[in-house]
Amino acid sequence: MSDSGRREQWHPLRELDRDRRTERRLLWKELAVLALLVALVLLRVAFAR
Amino acid sequence: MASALDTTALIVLTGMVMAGAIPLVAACYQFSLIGLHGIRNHYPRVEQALREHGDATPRTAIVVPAWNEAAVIATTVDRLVAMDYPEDSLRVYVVDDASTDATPEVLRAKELEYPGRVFHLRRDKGGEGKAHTLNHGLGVILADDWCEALLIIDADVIFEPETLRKMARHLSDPEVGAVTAYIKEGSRPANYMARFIGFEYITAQAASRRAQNVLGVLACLAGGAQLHKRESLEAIGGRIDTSSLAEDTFTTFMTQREGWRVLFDGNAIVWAEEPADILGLWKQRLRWARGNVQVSLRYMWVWFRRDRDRRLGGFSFGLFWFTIFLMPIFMISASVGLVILFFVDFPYSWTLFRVLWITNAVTYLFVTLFSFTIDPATARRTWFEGLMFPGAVALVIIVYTCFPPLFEDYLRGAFEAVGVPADGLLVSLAILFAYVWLAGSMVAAWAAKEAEGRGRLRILSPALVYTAGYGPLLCAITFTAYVKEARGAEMKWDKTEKTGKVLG
Repeated sequence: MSDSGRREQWHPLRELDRDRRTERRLLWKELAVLALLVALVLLRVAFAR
Repeated sequence: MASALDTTALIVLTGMVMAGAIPLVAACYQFSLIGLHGIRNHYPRVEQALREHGDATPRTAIVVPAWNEAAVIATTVDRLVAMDYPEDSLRVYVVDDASTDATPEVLRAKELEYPGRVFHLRRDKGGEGKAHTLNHGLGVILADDWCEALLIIDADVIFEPETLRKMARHLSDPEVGAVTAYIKEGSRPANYMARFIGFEYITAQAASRRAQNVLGVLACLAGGAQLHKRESLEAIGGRIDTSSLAEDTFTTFMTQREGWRVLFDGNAIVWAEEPADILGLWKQRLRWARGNVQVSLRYMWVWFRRDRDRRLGGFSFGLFWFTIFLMPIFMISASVGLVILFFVDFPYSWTLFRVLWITNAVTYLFVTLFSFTIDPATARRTWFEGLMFPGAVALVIIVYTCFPPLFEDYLRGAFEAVGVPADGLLVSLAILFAYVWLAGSMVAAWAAKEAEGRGRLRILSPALVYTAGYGPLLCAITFTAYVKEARGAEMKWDKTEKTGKVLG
């Protein structure tokens, strides 16, 4: 494939946007894991009573 | 008994035990930064540069050090030239470190297959290590003004087609000197060791290096994928440090000391074949760990001194570096403190033990679950090794400290079922065992390595790793590195054997 052909396929900004979304999702994943941890701790405390 | 201890001794012993919690708290802190990477990353600056200048594909010379790589080098070269990158902006220089196998013949054939794109640089005297091999190539490449960037890789790694351009886009920022990628374990079929390493790389690369991006400082450009801007490499002398066993970490530190920013792009993926057994891992990681000892000492005047270096001297970076570097000391300290307290003030020792292990439980859950979500594809292959990372015994202690009544009833029942009375002595021994385990797990991990090197015992070594834990295995290697460095043991460049089983 020629260079120009490849460049047309690359869409660097679109690729960048996809990667930015991947990074943003990490924030929500982290919050979800933290929420799960808090729920587990609360369950444990409730269980202890 | 408490009166037998004066306040100072009690404070010292408490400190010794709680030192075991320092790496745990640091790990939670480090992982908590990862989410911030979602809103604090380098992509906005890349976007700005792309909008201003269009594509960012500097003329890049790839430097591949190769010593007896006949099994893998042809595939590596084919994959490199086939990457989605402008053909006229990419050259591959394979530096053959006086190979004695078919590497030269393979490379000559590749030179003919890709004229003007693949170059075979032969060293007549080899065996001096990767840094010397790289320097031979860098000398040739930098003598010509063609290249604008240099990608240093290992002979066995497989780049995904878009990886180089994902790395290169960051170089459009004038402040950025170098970029590294996410190295993933790619051996197929993946044995237990490959799966442990696969999970470890989620935590040590995909996770930790994102946190370091947030801090604006990177501990290490992965040796298998480091893209340098020409000016930044020339600023550190155009050479790789040859005085240590951690040439990639030294290069990273030197680049940042020169004022360049160094970045990790977790969306740029590179596949690598890692050691398939404990002995291979031990050899590789001992070299890394000794290199880290050397880096720690060489930069002694920078740590925790932001006035001396804005990036490397930051508190958080120093905390992350030293909690990994000193992990064996923290583990031994906690065990010794607990055992002494066991004999002088048992109730207090028990309280500290539970606080320490409950902290361990929370950290384990946070780090493991979050790691699974950071790289779900790898997690699907390595979830069991991720769960077993601290080892089966540590998991039992974690469950026990979180749910003591349940466990005690079950244990008592189990002992009584086999006719063993669950009396005071047995309980005391069990508690002492749990107290010692933080340090003892490293001995058990070392035993796994010894077993692997001894004929029939080899069959036991995987079970020992699952029992003792992969984390303690790494700590045992770090501890060995202290001893080797203290003794001034010879620095040998032990190459990790590669078989070309990376599918990528």
